[in-house]
Amino acid sequence: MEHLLEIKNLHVIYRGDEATVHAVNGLDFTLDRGATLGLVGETGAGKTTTALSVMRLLPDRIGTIEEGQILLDGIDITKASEGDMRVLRGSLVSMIFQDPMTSLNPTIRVGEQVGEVLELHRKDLSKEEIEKKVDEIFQLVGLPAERKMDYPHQFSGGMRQRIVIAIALACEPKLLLADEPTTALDVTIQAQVLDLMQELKEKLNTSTILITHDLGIVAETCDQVAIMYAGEIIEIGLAEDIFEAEDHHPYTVGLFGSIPDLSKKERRLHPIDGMMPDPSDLPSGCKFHTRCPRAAEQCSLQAQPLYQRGTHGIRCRLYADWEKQQ
Amino acid sequence: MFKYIGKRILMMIPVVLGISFIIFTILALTPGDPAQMILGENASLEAIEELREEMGLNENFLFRYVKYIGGAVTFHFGDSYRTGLPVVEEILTRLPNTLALAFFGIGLSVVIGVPIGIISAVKQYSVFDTVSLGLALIMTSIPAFWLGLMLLLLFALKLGWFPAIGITDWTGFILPSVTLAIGSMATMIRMTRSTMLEVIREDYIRTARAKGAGEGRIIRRHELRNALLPIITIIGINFGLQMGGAMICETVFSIPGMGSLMITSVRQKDVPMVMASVLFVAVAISLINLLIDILYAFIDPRIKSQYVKASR
Amino acid sequence: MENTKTKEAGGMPAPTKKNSQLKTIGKRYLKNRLAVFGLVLFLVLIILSLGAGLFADYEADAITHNMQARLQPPGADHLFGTDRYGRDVFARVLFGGRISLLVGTLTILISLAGGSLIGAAAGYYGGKVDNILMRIMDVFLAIPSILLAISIVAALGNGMMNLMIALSVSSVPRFARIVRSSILTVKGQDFVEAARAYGCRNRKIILYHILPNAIGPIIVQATLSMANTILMISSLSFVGLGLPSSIPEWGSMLSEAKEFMRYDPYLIAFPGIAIVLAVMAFNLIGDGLRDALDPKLRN
Repeated sequence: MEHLLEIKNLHVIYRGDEATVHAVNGLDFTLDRGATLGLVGETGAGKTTTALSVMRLLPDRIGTIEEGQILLDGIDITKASEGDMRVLRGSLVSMIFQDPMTSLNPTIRVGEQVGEVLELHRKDLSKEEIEKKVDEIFQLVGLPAERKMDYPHQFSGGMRQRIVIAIALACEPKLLLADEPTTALDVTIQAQVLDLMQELKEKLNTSTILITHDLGIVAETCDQVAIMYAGEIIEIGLAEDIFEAEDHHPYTVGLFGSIPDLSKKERRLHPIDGMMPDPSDLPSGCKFHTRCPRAAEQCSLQAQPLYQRGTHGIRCRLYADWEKQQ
Repeated sequence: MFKYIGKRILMMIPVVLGISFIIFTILALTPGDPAQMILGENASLEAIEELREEMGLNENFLFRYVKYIGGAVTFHFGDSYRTGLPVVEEILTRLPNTLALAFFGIGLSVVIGVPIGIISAVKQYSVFDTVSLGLALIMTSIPAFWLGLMLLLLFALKLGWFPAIGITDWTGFILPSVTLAIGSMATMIRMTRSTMLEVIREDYIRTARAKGAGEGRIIRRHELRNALLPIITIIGINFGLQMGGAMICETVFSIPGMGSLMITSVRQKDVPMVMASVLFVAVAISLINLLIDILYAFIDPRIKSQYVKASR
Repeated sequence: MENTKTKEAGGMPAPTKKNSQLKTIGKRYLKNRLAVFGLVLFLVLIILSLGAGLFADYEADAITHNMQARLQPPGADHLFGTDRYGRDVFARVLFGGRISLLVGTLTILISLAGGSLIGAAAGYYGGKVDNILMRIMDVFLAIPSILLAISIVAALGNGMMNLMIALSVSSVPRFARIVRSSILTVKGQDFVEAARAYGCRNRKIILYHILPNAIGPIIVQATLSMANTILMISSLSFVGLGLPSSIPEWGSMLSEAKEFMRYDPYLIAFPGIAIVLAVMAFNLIGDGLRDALDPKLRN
């Protein structure tokens, strides 16, 4: 097994009262052990849905995996029983959610909340050993151990996110899914939390999928980058491919265009025109053609495969001379 | 903690004063002369005037109110126009019956309604959920006094299981309590269900799932406690309604409580009795809500920590 | 949560004209089976009580005593039987519906007017006005409505007018609160700021910009209050503090029938069922409207 996580042709839908939302439409990627993948895209691109699919925590009755395979450490998540998933969650794979203000239980002491993961997965530990372990983890995430008797409302946002990280990493999972872990935090705190995650990741050799819309964070922390649009990966590659190479999907170009670059003389930003297409009513052909500055007639007719050159893949007709992936 | 309780008690005072002022004002609008009423049709003008003076009826309205409150503080609420005895005596013999009825009613509705609401929320859209919501709908629409009549007809008159009239022993409380409970059970089921559904959708429940916690553990450890807080508030709000319901129910089951007392007093224009009755019931309700607030503070760490300095 | 945002983006109605908005609300309402059932019940109630004259004669059947025909069980002559004075119970139940609807509607209108005025003033002017008005409303809310109603009836005496006053006073605070909070949410929104910016007068802003936007929750509250008011009317009449017993009213019919219920249970069955159905109709409509107006609230 060389890959820790392998996602093949994943399709996820949400069934609503009024419409069916196609949130993820044929997703493929692999993640190596110890690597960090940045999953980038606008709100609604299907990033969180992808992560929730790996956790098998899609909203009950509404979200379903329609098609595809998710192989995590050799186990097919899409076929695992709920009981098996319960064993995996928190021990093999953990998830950090976006808002630390709401992701901790307000009526339970934070120490107990961290201890609960150990209680669930480390049946070999006694009560005292768990307590000791909780103290260690608190130290690891930079919190004084005696604060474990406090309740979440007694902590600031940054400290709460540290507790959330402590919960996620308590059982030293092989895969960590971090869903915009710093979006809800102040800029100065953001850096601290990212550094902490980076440090722990190296210490524990955890693979990470970092979901974000912030390209700056990706550039700093990720080995691989996948850019999602309307439930598809439209460009994927190593960090160098995305940040240094010349060839890009027009959407990626647009994404970079909407970041102010102080080193250039240009006065204006170039955000992408228009809005993400309605995921319950996706356009035909290339899903980006409605907003693409370089769209041609054929773009609305024919969906494009991913064209690959080395480690770099782009889903656009402009790179049709590259190697075609199935 | 004492600071919190003290603050709550202080906050009660203006509310009780406000209530007493509103009721005093409304009752001051009563037409007719109490002095005439007490002395009867044939009393002489002088005698009436004398009694008016003695009762302080010639004073101005605000002065009378202040005097009333002054009396109330020392537990003097005046004499009944009907019996001539202090109104407090009669109220104190009747208030326990109404309170007991309200307590039994709410207790029963909590014991049955809350679990039903929880199961309904956890098994949303199931047959159980649909049936219990349907029952709740019917229960909110049934007037308590009519339900009381029907239960009385079936269990007391036809089957003879319970006494039909009055409360000779505790069995007399059963039918009225059930009657009362059914009305508020509907609220309990609906509110428990909706607060529970809200809690189920909270991010921290997802966190618990992401830890690998099972369904039973999530309900017991993570959902119940958080859902309990709003439910306690609902119980408090319901208590006021329950007192009102209890007073109507008393007339069906011929229970000597505040309801029947107030109704006879209203019919006979016994103003001091009505005034004091309303005041006692209102204060009883405020006290219950005070207790609930204190209980709340013990359960919710967010409120507790504002007042209790953690011992670390 | 990303997926809910996705869904909102997908399901959000385009901000077009009022008409299409009403249409979507109507559609959502009609999809809700219970709400439709409530509407049907309501229509039946309206037809039977407004058209009561078609089925029976008010004076002859519902008012005039007819001692030869007293306490007859339900049958072909008298669908629901007759009461202690030989009056036709079916006719009295129908005309009773008329009374409940009339008193209920007027009560709601009075309290709506009062509540809107107070709530609008509190919400719009804010500050001290808001504080004082809402504290007074809180005190009113702290008195159980039945106590308040009993006190008012004690002061004013029995009768239809006094009953309406008594019931309105106790539901004014609820409307005031709703109107106030609707106004507070609408107040901060851009179009109100815009209206103020191009010099709209205060009163005009309240009338043309804020109230139309607050109308949804108000209608919901009015419908649910209607259910509650019908219950209160019958409760008060039942204990003899509402309408005089000569008027056919469900609560006073039950009060009269109480002593005969052992041998003539039909006397308490029919008026009671009428109350249950009427109250249920308004509860269902109110719940349905609330869900249709704000589907996000729906569980």
